[in-house]
Amino acid sequence: MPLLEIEDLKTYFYSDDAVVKAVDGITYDIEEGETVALVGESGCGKSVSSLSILGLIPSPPGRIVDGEVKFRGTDLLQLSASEMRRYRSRRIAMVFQEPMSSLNPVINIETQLTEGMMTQLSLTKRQAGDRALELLETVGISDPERRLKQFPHEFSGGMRQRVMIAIALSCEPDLIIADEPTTSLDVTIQAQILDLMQTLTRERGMALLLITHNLGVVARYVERINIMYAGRIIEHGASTDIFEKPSHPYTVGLLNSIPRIDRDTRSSLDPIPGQPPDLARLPAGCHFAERCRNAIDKCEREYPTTVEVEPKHTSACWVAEAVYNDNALQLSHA
Amino acid sequence: MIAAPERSEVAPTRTRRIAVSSWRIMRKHPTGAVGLVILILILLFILSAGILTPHRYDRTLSGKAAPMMSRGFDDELLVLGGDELGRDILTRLQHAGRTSFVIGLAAPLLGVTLGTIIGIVSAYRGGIVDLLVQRVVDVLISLPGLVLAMAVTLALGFSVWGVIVALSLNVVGGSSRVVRSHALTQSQLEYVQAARALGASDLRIIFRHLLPNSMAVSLVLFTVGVGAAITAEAGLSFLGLGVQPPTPSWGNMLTFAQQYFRFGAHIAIIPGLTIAIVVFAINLVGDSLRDILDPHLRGRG
Repeated sequence: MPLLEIEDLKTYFYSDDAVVKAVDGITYDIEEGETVALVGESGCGKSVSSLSILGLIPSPPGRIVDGEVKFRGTDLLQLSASEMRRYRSRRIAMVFQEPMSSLNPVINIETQLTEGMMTQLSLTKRQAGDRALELLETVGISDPERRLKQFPHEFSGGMRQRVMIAIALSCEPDLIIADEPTTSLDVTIQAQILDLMQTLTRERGMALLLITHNLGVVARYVERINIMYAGRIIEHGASTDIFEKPSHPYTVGLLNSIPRIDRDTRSSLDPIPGQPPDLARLPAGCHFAERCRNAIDKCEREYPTTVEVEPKHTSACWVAEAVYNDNALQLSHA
Repeated sequence: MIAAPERSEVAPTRTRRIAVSSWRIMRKHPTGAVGLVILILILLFILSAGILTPHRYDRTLSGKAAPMMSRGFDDELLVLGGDELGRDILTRLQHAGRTSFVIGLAAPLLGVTLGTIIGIVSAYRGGIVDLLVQRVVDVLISLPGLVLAMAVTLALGFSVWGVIVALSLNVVGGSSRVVRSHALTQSQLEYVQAARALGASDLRIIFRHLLPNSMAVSLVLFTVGVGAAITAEAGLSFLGLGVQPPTPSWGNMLTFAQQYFRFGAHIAIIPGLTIAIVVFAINLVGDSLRDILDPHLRGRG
């Protein structure tokens, strides 16, 4: 049984005159100790889907309309608020996007780091303090004793993200959800933080869900990738398969729009034309049809069914086979 | 003998650091420092009641409205003269200061505390709770302060506590509104989301996270409130609805002086001037405190 199974999850936001379908029926799973990525551009619903897992959708206006989020077989969506609280950070912890604002500016690091351990694991202040010290050391902060007494403004962005990781690790969860953990950091720090998260989760056998808009970032770190577009998962597969044999035109577009060291340096990048659709006014057919190079008539009318192009590699596209074969062919020629 | 270490080698102690930084703040805000000094002097004056003068505040020592530096019936020196009943004004000023300060501190403390909690809860819960709470606050704000205070003191009796509750109600509405707007922006920040993801309960988020973040705002509201409460208490007493004699307060000293001040203007001028100076000093401190605590206002206003 997978650690986390998400079945047909739908999270909608209701306003006076529209329903924004931020997450519109996504299905994926994470095995114990596995690192999985959820990739998509800004506003495609990836953050909303992760907040839905922990029941942190602001309601109103948001509501989880349908679906299941099964953690070791328990549907988290059926839990009461206080039962849900016990899952947070003890089973599933989260690292947020903005290390600058994810720490409370007026409380010192020690208090913030020990808060979870004291409430969730019922450690004494002393025990929690000792563990906090260890954790800071683990995430690579030097002089942890002095650092514990300091306030967030005395830390740099990268160090704050390290503190956030320490907080996430503090209750020994089984799954850490990292929502764009490196977006606001320097490129050099990005690699450090991702390496750190990977080592620490591997060491402890924790699963990691890495949410990002940067396909390049995840390449090295994840085993499986889910590509999300306009509220739905459009391609899923093992990391290498997605990179080598993408079978959805959107994934192909994403890969073409990032610089790669193994490409001809003189050729220019090839961006995806147009804008993602308005989530409140989604087209009847494939959400990507308008921007798609491979679009056929059917794409405009009907949302594609998901097909398996090879074992454990699925794509929601009417021409998935053709795209897949095309890329697989290129690979065999190379 | 071991030679005393060089000054630069001495690690700055905590008290030393605080002393240095408060000196720096004082240098930057001289008006606030002046206000603070005045306040401290007045507090010392009030606290020395029973020490500074040998007289009792409720004993007639001289004729009505005896002039300053005059002698009483038993040749006592009345530095600031006697009031409408021949009681020593200096002594009464000290005792009255106790009442005025207790009310002046307790009323805004109660009011701002309530207002802060209401404001944060209202902002954090949002939705229907926010809507209902804010309409109640609207009602509270729309009532004229003095009228509300009069009604409440009439209902609760003219005790010190009655006046405190009455005056605190004036502060609740306004402060809850200010704190709410501050807490609204705070509760959108990611650290609140992060705390929730950590499994913190609503109560914990309100008291451990949002409350400390609103302290700066509440503190400024409180200092502004102190000045207002002292004047309001004087106003209530002046109307005869405040603290009742024999307990003296600066306000009721003024009230009773009005009938006799033809005989000696000092019996009205002295408590009046005291109120004016105290409120002025508090406002100086409050203004500086706002500048220090609210970086957005720095250099403006």
